[in-house]
Amino acid sequence: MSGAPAVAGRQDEGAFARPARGRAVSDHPLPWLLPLVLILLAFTVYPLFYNIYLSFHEYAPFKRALVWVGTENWTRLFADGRLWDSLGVTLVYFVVALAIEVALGMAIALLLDADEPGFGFLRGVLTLTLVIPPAITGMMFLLMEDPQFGILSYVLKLFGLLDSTTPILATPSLALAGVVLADVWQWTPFMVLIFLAGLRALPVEPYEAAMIDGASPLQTFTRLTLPMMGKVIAVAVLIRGIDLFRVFDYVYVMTSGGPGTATYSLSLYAWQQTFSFVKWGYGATISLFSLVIVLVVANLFIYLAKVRW
Amino acid sequence: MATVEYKGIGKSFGSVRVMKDISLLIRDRGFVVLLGPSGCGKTTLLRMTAGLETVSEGDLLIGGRRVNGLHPRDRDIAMVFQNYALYPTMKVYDNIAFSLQVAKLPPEEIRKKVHWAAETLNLTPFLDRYPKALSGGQRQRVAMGRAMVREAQVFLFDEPLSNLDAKLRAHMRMEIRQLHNRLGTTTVYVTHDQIEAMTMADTIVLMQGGRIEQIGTPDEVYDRPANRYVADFIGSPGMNFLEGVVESQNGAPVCRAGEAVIPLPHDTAARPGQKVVCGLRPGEVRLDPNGPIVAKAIIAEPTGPEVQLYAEVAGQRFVALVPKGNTFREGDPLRLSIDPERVHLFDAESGARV
Repeated sequence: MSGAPAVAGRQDEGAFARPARGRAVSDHPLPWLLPLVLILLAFTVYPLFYNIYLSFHEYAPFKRALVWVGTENWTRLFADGRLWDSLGVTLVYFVVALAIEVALGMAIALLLDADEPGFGFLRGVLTLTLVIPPAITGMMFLLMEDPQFGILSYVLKLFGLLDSTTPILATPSLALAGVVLADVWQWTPFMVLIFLAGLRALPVEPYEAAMIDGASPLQTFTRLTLPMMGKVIAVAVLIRGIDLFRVFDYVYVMTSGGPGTATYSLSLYAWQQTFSFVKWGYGATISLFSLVIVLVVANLFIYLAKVRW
Repeated sequence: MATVEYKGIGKSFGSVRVMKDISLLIRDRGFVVLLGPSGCGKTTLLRMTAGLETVSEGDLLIGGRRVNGLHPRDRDIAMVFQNYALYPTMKVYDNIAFSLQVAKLPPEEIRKKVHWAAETLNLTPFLDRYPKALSGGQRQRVAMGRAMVREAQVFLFDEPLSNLDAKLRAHMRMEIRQLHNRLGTTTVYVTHDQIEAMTMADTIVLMQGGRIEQIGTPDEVYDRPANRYVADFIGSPGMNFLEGVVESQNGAPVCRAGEAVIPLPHDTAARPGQKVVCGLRPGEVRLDPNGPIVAKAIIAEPTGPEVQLYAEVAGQRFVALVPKGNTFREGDPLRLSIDPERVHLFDAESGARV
């Protein structure tokens, strides 16, 4: 506090004591918030409003400019069969992948929630799938599910689970399952990690009380573990669910939406409209539409599941 | 009939043997308090009784049946935990009803039992609350209610009152004891609080370092401590110890500690010349101008009904409880006396009662 007059009662301000004369640092919060505010403005708020702007325009190739089209994109949206198809595909993908990842993640987390030798290593290994870029995972599964030399196709055929001539990713009824498989492989460990963190933080005493009260392992799980893990599961479902809803990488790399439109997700459709067909306005409208769905569903979920941040 | 019997019980954690050769028979409907400092093995012994820890050596019998390998639920026990261990996501009703629900009892019967327990424990207004909305004392009672409805033969308590304030603790001591009498169960109660032990137990088991130091009624443990350790542990303020040598004075046995002379019971087993430690309870020492114990006042603390007087006797610290109204200044010479029958004598080396 060089130069600052010693004032009783001000001593406790320590390092935050105001320097004397003229070098005053503003108490106003704005300068401190400004960097974050600028980043948010540039990368979140501006693109959002630009998207809204785009959704009321369309790119006219011959004029090489955006022209005002009013609500045309929005009315087209509700009449577009392909859009509703892709929404259906996305919802199936979302529900199936989420259900498997939650159930499988919980099962593995329960198995790993013990202090056996080697379990620490196993818990560490789990993180490995998460460092692989999703597009690469897609390539890996594309190869593994290849009908001629894919190991996965080979094994499935070995066990008679797959007809010897069926290509997984080219069969309409199987293609989505083939893509979900890649998602499940990559993201189940993420669920395991969250669930494990939750399980390890649970108190021990209620379990001892439950042992004395005579609860079976299944009763202990359904009446104690699941309710105590409720919030953790809800947060995991929320994070993973939002991610699943905008699935793009796997379908883009593995099937490009095919065969036909069997794996055509909403994100892929928005991408196709925007970048392949240069329908910037309509592409923006589709993304806004999916944003609205995510916002509504996610907030409804937060409200119903009583998630507290 | 639910006796609890420990036959040569031992416990090892890995290669560390923390307890050995514990043998004890708890009679049916007995209220036994396992008493001792932290780490003496009392909680481990209780958890072995419950089946939450394995028994490394010896036999554990409940109601005459060997239960060493038996699952906790099959031991006919109920337990109240130190931190209550309530189920946080269940309401009070379900907390109490849980053991009955998992046993798939008829709902009507469950309802009756839970309401009976809630009424006994004054919990009826709280049945719809979650544990986190209860006070410490209420949580404590929920934990007891959970134990009650199990209708177990043996109740195990693991320091159940240590998280309560002093007033509530005194109240719950009485309630637990009443409940024990009413339900007619056998109770094993773990505590480090000697007042709890003295007031509640019909048998105190004093433990230290994984061994039993003494088993006896509260009076026996207080009046005839088996060794210096027990004498030191029981009683508040703690017993005074004076090191000295046994002599004969005018035909009566005494213990001489510096200038102080402590009269001994005339039938004492101590031999003249033996090095001993005399134990004198602060409450049994009297101020007496002609007393044989020479002392010097240090400080006096009024406690309300009496004054706790710190003094020095033969260069050793000494505490006496004297009637209120006495005032002292530091350095005042004092004389104290004690009924020879009330002097405890311990061997200076072994610490065992002489």
